[in-house]
Amino acid sequence: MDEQLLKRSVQSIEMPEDMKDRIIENCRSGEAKPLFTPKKRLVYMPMAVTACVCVLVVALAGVGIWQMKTLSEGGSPTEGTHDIGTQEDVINVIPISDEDLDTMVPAYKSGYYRSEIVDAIDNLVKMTEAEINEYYGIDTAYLLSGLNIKLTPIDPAEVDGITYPYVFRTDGGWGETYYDTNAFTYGEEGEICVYISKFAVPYSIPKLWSDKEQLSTISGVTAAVGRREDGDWQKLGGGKYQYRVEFERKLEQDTLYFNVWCDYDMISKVVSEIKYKCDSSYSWGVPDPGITDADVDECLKLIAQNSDFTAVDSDIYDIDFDGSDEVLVLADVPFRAICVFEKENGKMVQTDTFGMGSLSGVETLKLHTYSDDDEKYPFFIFHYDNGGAMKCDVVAAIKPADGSYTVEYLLSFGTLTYTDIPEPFTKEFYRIGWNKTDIAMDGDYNDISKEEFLELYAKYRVYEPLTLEKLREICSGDPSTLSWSDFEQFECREIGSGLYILEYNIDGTYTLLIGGVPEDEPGYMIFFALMAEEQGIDIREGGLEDYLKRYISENAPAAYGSLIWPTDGGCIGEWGHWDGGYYGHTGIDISGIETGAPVYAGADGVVAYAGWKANLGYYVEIYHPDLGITSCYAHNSVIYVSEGQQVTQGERIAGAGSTGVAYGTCVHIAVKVNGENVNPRKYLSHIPEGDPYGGKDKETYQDPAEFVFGIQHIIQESATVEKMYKALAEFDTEGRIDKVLLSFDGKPVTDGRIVQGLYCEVYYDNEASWFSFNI
Amino acid sequence: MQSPLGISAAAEEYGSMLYRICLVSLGNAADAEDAVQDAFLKYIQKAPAFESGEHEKAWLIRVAVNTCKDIIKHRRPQVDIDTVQQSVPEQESGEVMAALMTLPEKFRTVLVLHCVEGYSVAETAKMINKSPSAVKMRLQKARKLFEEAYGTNGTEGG
Repeated sequence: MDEQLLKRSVQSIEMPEDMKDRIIENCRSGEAKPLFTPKKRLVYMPMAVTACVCVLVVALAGVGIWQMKTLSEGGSPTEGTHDIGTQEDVINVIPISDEDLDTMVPAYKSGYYRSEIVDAIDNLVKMTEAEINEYYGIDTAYLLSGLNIKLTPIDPAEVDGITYPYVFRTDGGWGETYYDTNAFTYGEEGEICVYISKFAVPYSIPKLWSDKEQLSTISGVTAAVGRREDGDWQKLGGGKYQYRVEFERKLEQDTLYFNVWCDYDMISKVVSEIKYKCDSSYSWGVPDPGITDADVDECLKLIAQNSDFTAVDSDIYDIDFDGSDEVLVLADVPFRAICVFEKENGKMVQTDTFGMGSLSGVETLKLHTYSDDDEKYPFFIFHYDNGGAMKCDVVAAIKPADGSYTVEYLLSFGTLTYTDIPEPFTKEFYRIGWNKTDIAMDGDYNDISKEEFLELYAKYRVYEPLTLEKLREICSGDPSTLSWSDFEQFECREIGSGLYILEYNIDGTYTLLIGGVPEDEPGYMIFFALMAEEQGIDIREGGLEDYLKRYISENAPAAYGSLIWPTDGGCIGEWGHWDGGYYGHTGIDISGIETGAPVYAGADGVVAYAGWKANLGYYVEIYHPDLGITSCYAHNSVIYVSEGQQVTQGERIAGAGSTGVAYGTCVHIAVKVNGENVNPRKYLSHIPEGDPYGGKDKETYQDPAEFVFGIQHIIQESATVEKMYKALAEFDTEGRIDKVLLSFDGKPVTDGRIVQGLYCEVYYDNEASWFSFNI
Repeated sequence: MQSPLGISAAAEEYGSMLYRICLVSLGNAADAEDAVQDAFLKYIQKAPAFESGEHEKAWLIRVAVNTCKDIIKHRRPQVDIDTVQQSVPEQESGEVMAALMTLPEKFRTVLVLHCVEGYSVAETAKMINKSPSAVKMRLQKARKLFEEAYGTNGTEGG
């Protein structure tokens, strides 16, 4: 991935000046309001209430939670107006009864443990007064939106003919704005949380006012237990008034006021009461059994199901991983891989896997249960041991691809950040190893830097003989993901015949050598090897160079240089270069030729494909059994051969053209080995010199690809046919496009439908060129 | 210790940085503006005493990232590729952004924090409140997804 490009792109985003001014102004003037609750662990749990009667009913059931502060803006009452009651108005405090708690018990009996509740309450107790008070500053509008209640000032006369100073209609009924309730919950997603709310429902409906009994029961503090799911609080139990407070109502002028002291003291009181009940003999919830033997068996079963473990030793550890309290660790004897299980919601879940030092033998361990949120990763542990004194291990996650495995990334021992590892190391990473304990200095698993890594690499590198087999193995891998930039830190030295040596000296003792056939194609044939002196190759005396040269000459595939230049004249254009198969460009383009110029078979073979192919236009594939490769010729204007036909080297098989997606008339030649595209350069017997810029100055040379890609991009990005034509007209200022034909299933499309899914043909430059593609 | 900057200085210093993080996370300018404003509001109201400029910057990012999370939860913001593309001056960058925006939000955020803003895995983990190994996995996956998304912009053929 081109991180520099990404970095440059994202960093080019600037905040628009007007937006900046707006924000500054809003923040200064106080216009800006907080969007959401200020603390992560402090969550409001607004609940919609649909009618005032409902409020009573729901409130009696203990879940009617109104959260509003006195409206202080927009002509609403000010706080002072309402602040009439005093603490003395509290006439009776009813403690939480066993009966109240009984309502919570069923939830715990259904699998939630007392320990979970105790934790939740402990957390709640930790909440500071400041944190609680922070809630009073919450944006009222937001709360209201959460409650799904709209307050609309109405004519006071509408309320039973009595005039009240501040009466608002809610979408569910009548309400006076002095609701001052809050709810607090603690707990992360999936965790048990205790829910404490304070509320008051001072309805400005006269018949309620007269009923003091009813009023008192709808004011107070309530506690309930729930679980956070999908960000919302799901009630599991409780919800009756665990703590009731009766208030003296006050009628002043025409408005009823209450004072509700559901402040920090009140909440603390409720919390401690619940806690006391919980800790004492009251059968609050079921005892938490922790991780049991049955859980261990369950884990063993999971491991057996999902991995190649042959023998597993297990034990329970009470250690702290990532802040969780209890984890189960399983150690596998032959591999010494450790799987960490945690108990979540009563179930054992594998949360991590680690490799340990002092392993033996190259082995893999397959586990399918590692997951990161919703992502599941196949997970493997590799270990390499060369049988020598140095034993080492590497944990890598790899992904199966066609039965072969690639090292995808390194998972931490807590020591190494894979991003710090230069690309080539990760490619063959299983060959690198080190001992964990030597890296983890001071017992602190810090990420190590690239420099440190290289040092450690040198120190603990695996002494592995560079055998022909090994080289062949490396060379047959897919090196296309490597690029020269991966080797920037190395000194590159050409040693002839396209072979380069990259050296990296570490304290003068070891040299890392990376050889290859670079130039246009850095990835191919790149291999790296660490040479041990016991191999009898003195790397400092040029021994390795000789060795590599000899290897290359002895082992170069017979197919190298076997294909003749497939046309008369022309050269490899600036834009037709091999780019490692990226961006779908599978070969090289020979430009500087006329339409209809002969296209020759590169070598003897049999035509494997002859006909139209999307993007490639008229296309010919020739399989060369003697060479074990397939040569491909694209964008032809005409094809002279047919499938199954034997062809000889130099036989004219097609005429050059620009069919499919081509930048202009060219011969696109590609070579496939085992179905994979490789750089064709090496397979060509000679590559003529030529002018890739078509006689133009390099500086002023216009990339013909820009035009074709531009058109293609516009078409693909257009929503409808109409918009597409409009955008194309804007793009094509020189009028080069002749026509754009759209069709679906062979039938032309002319109406204004969505372009996606249609087949598109574009003719341009007086129909001298055209290309087509599926949108 | 360092005393907090005034709002204009802070907006000048960190505005664009926060904006691009929020824009990439939320995918549209309006929500990104809200998130940035919210972060600055908290900054002027609640900012702790910072040990250094880096501390201050990291604090702001963390606040902004959390706000983005809230916005995602409450508003389910729509990604508006056009706006995002228009936010970058170069066409190539526009393509990069378009590819980036095809990734799920959590991957975009780690990519930006780690690859663009240059925070280490550990620092990124702290900012998004995830374990370092989760961040590593996300980064790995993000790189791959991005490569796939960006790579498909090209076209087969010559």
